Amino acid sequence: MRTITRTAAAGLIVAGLALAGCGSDSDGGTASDATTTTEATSSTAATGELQIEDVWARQSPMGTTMGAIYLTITSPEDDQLVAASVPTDVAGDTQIHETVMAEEDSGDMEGDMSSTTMADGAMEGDMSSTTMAGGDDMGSMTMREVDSIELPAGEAVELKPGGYHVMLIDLVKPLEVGEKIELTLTFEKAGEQTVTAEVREG
Amino acid sequence: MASRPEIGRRLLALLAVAALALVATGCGSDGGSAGGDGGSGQLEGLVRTPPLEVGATSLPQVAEDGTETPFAFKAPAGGLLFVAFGYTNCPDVCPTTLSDIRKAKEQLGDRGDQVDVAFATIDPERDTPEVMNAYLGSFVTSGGHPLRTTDADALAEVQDAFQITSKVEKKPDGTVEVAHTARSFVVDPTGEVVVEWTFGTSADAMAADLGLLLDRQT
Repeated sequence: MRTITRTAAAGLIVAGLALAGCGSDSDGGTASDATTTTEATSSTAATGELQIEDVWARQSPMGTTMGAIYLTITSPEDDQLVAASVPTDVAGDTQIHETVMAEEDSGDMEGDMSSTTMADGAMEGDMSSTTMAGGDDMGSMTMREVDSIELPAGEAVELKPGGYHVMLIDLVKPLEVGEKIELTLTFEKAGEQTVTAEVREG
Repeated sequence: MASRPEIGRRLLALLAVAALALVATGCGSDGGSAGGDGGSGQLEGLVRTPPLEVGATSLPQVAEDGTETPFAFKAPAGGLLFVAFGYTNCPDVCPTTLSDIRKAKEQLGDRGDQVDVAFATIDPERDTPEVMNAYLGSFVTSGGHPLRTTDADALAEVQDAFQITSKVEKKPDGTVEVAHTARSFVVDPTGEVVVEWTFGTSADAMAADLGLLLDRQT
């Protein structure tokens, strides 16, 4: 139940972000569109191979010891991504994280749910003269570690900004553009797969 | 733990709301403003009526050595001020937003220099003045304002003016969990918030909005 809910939620995030980006192409590595999975699906089904594509890490800003790797996974069969790791000379620890809307936000988010919805309804209507009800805080986000990511057969699952990411903790040194990082992914069925992540500007 | 499914449903409801908002943000008004020229185009971001007034609030801008200078939330004359709240240990949302504003400024060429960037930490304990300067400096080379206060009330007052929240929670196992509003803001020289961007607003949309807003000022 928990996993299903989370997967559905992730789908919504992806859908929301994909739609938000329409009408403008981003050069930040989010080129693949969540709705254009047809081609990937058919070719995967034909070859039956696990596809791990568009693996990249954002250059890490000076001053931080955290980093993130993004990628797109298409599995030929129902599978799960259960772990990720990078060499210890890159980061001290690697976890799979998800950025989500905060479940409880200082108490007031919960109480204001209905009014938040109302306010956003108004926002949807007419963007040029949007009226937002005061006091509501839409969009508080937080991160949490996840045990696994569901990979439904033939579906391109994106780890992308604002959703899932492989989080690098205690970076040994900042990630510089052009650098390559060896990323080992562990799947429930497909076992270990090692890919190379390229550090991009982001 | 027993109420997991309930939390899930609530989360779904929230996400549905967020998705709608993002759809509206991203697609509500393309065309028209894509060129960023002329004052008749529509903004991609959210415009609040009446607008938020934040010019009366301020936070300390910190130098690397810890020296503090009060910084009021107003753009320089003829320019604009981008404002985001976050923390440097945030690997996903914060660098995405700052990376997008950097790209938007680059797209605007010389006009991008008229857009200052303020980044206020919601996690002052870990974000020292040195860290804040290094962090923001890796996104903007000039016009950056690293803002930090250890006075929780002062931060809360500013967040109220922007109508956002944040929470930093230390877990028993020593990890720190942070939740914060991922919306960003553009403020004009009078201290009025002229547009708000939800997380996921593209660099292109930011550049288009900034272009329009700069046009309106001249």
